[in-house]
Amino acid sequence: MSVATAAPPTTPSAHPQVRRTRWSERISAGVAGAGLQVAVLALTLAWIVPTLGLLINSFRTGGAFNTSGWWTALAPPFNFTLESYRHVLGASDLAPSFFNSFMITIPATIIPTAVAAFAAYAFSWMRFWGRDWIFLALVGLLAVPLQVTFIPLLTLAVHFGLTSGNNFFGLNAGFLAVWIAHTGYGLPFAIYLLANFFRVLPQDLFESAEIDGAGPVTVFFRLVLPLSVPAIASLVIFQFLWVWNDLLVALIYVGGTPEVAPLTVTLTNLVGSLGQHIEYLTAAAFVSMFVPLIVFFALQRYFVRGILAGSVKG
Amino acid sequence: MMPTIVVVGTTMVIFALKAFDVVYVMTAGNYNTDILARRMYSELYNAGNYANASALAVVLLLAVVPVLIFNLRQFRAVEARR
Repeated sequence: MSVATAAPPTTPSAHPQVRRTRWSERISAGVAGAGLQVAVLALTLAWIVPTLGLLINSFRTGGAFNTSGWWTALAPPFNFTLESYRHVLGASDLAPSFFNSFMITIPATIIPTAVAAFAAYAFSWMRFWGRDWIFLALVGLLAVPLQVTFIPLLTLAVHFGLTSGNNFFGLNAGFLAVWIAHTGYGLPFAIYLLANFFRVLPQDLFESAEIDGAGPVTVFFRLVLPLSVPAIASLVIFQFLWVWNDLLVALIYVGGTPEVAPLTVTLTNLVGSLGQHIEYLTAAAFVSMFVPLIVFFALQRYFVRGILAGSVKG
Repeated sequence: MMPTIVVVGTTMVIFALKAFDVVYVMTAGNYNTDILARRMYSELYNAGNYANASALAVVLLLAVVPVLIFNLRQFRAVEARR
């Protein structure tokens, strides 16, 4: 969900190039670009309205939240309150669940990204038997709804003792299960995305590297990885967001007990089973959105750097 | 641009085909809103009808095949160009 709010800032970055042209060009481009700008602005606004409503609702009282729309809060009798935030931030197991969220998210981002980078390199630049067909099977795997895999995979995890009651070299084995699960769920998309990026790298680079005596490993680490930083950064953002926002997979593989529950599970438990205090979820959404936003802005500069690097130009 | 559009298009088509949670939460497939993935789930876990569920899985895979073929042709085109 927070992708929606985080995405708009990337669009204006295309404009500085337009501004650097000459005056006459600027005016004609400005007239033509005005329509585009209005369209982009309108789309951005439409995109951001639900999030804005959520933000306003998070500052309203529970009663008002349940009886009237968020826009009514913008009229003069302002009744804003920090009650929801106070309750969410005051939750006793908030700090451990932040830790658990990082504990789940960081390995569940690094492992699939690393595996996918190797696999994508093989799929796009190595020749082996049945390569295209294995790749197609992989794209087909994208179509498996992950909800139908829960019971077989959980049975397997329990069979191997990877449940949150067990210890695995001092680590809660449930975390291991959720890392493996997220790796599996993330890999088809990750490999597909990276392979398509690797595939369009110019062949000349690979030929000259080969002439200079670089083996596949050197080519991968010295050539493919540095050139693919924008693709890898976007993959890391995607995977991080999915795992961070994920409720179901974590609930199933590590369970909902406070010592292993990630942030999403803890925050959902603030709401009663009959929907009492559902307004806490609005504040909870913004508390939870905080970390993905930091990750997004931290990695955003790699997009820009990747475009400016220009080494992909023929 | 074409490879990028193919990637995004493929992903969106496939993600839309395997949509599950929104339908499951909002209507649970009632009022003529059932979709393949949710039907597969209910056939498997609610009705215990393994054969029907497997058949639906195959249908879902078949629905993806045109996208796969398009992708394959796109790969071949990119390979041929470089």
